[in-house]
Amino acid sequence: MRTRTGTRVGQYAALLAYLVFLAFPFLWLVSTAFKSPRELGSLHPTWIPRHPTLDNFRQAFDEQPLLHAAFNSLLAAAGAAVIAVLIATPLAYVMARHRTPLTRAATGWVVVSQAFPLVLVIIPLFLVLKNLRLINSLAGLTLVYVVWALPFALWMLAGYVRAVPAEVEEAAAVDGAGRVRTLVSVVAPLLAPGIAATGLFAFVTAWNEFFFALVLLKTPDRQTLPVVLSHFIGAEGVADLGPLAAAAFLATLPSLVVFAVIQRRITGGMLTGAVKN
Amino acid sequence: MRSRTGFTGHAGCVLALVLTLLLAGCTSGGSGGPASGRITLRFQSLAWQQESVEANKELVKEWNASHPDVKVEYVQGSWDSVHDQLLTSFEGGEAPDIIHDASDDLADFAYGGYLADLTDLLPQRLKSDIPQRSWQTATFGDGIYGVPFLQEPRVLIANATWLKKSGVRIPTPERPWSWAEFRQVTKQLSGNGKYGVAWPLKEPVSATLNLSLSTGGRLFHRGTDGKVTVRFEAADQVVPRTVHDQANTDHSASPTTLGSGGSDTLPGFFGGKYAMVPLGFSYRQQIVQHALVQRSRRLVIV
Repeated sequence: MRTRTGTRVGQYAALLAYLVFLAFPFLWLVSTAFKSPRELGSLHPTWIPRHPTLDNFRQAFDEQPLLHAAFNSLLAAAGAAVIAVLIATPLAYVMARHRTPLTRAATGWVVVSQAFPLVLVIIPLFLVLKNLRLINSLAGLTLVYVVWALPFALWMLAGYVRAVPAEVEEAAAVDGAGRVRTLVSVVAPLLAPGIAATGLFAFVTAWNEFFFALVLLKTPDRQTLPVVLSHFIGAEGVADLGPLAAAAFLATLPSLVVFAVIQRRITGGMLTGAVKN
Repeated sequence: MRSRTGFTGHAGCVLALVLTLLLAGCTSGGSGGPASGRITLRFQSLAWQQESVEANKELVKEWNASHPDVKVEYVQGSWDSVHDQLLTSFEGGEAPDIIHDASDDLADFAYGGYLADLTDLLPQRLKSDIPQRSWQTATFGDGIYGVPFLQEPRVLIANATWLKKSGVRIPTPERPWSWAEFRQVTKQLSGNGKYGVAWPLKEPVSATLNLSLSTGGRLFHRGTDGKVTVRFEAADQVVPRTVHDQANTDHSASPTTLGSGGSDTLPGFFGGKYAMVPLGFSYRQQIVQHALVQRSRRLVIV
């Protein structure tokens, strides 16, 4: 019993250390956002600002069109997430349920495609979008984000589909449900956490993406949040640290809110008790 | 003895910023051709500090007011990934018509044929207003591919009180420090956990190559056949060896900042841990901002 308690304490300690490790950059960002220039230049930085100020937020909003850029980011990221999920879900079902050499090759290609560096594809992609008249267009950017997120979304959803026992579908068939009814009423609800997680992944990837947006969007009114945030950074990495941290903190909030809202659904364990062994 | 050249008086230790016209901008009339009745040129600016953004926008506004036939559209660029962004735009034929960039970044684009040769377009007054050495930063092969409008010298930000108290000789434009003397000075300033200098070398190539120009270093040698060879000769070694010896032999340079960016060294400088910090001149705003708060500390830019 003592060993079990010791193990449990060790597990919690490791978990806490991991959480601190993950949260450190964000907490530091929050702390920086509320510090004055003097505190930012202090040799002995503190976690909690001695004289908290909102000046950095004021300056960030004064200097850059953050709200408009956030709206652009929202359009591109939400559009990409919805479209990626709509395409990936049926494809993932087929890849997971029908194991043929073709689906195995497709899975392999999905994994390999993740290895291509961004700079390798950007020029051909630019030319394709130019021919489609989709340069400097949020629709074009959304399309790119869908294509960029799709392989991983597919791979991720296929894993969720595999986790749904085939017996559940067989049981529905025995009860007289047709193919479509089984998919819609039985499989889809069980896949909901996976779909939510995949959609979230696609959303966050697109929300944070910088390079495609920088290259593909030309006019200031189309620029997304990461591109606008980069305007706080000058040559050789000189940064207007306070306003940058304030704006970056605000840019992180939507991702946090989305995570907080659907976190329970993702980790809910929808399949618990679905099949009796 | 070129290595004894003081590093404050050499025009090579600068980051030159240039404005340049792209080839497409000059040959096809820019983004909006004469058919539309009005030519529109897109100007991508990399200005990022509020004052300079406003000044650039004001210049564009003035131009548009006085040139109804040629409209300039201000586009806010970003220093981050600017080379990749421009390269992609050039390849895709969608680049801005006028760009703002660092001169060292332009070489690829000039030799790649993306930029317009401005030699015959420059008025004599403009040519004479800008020093010849500055024009050289925008000259590639036989052509001039940009108008230098800003030089950002690498400077030593120094704690004046500390330097004066230590009794070291303060350099002047007429009698700058040699690299050997600089090493000696930093040694004299160090001790008790404090360092004479903190080198922020997160991006070491630009810093060491530019500073090596002050000792006659070249590293890249273009032959008569146009081929380039790389040779790390005695003159190229002065700066890296000085930094190495300061950090490892004399312990007069902070070893922890060698991998840091310029901003990362400032808290230590303001906190009295480092006597000097070599930085680009664009850090002046941050430094002045902080110095205004800490009125007691006197700063000198060497």
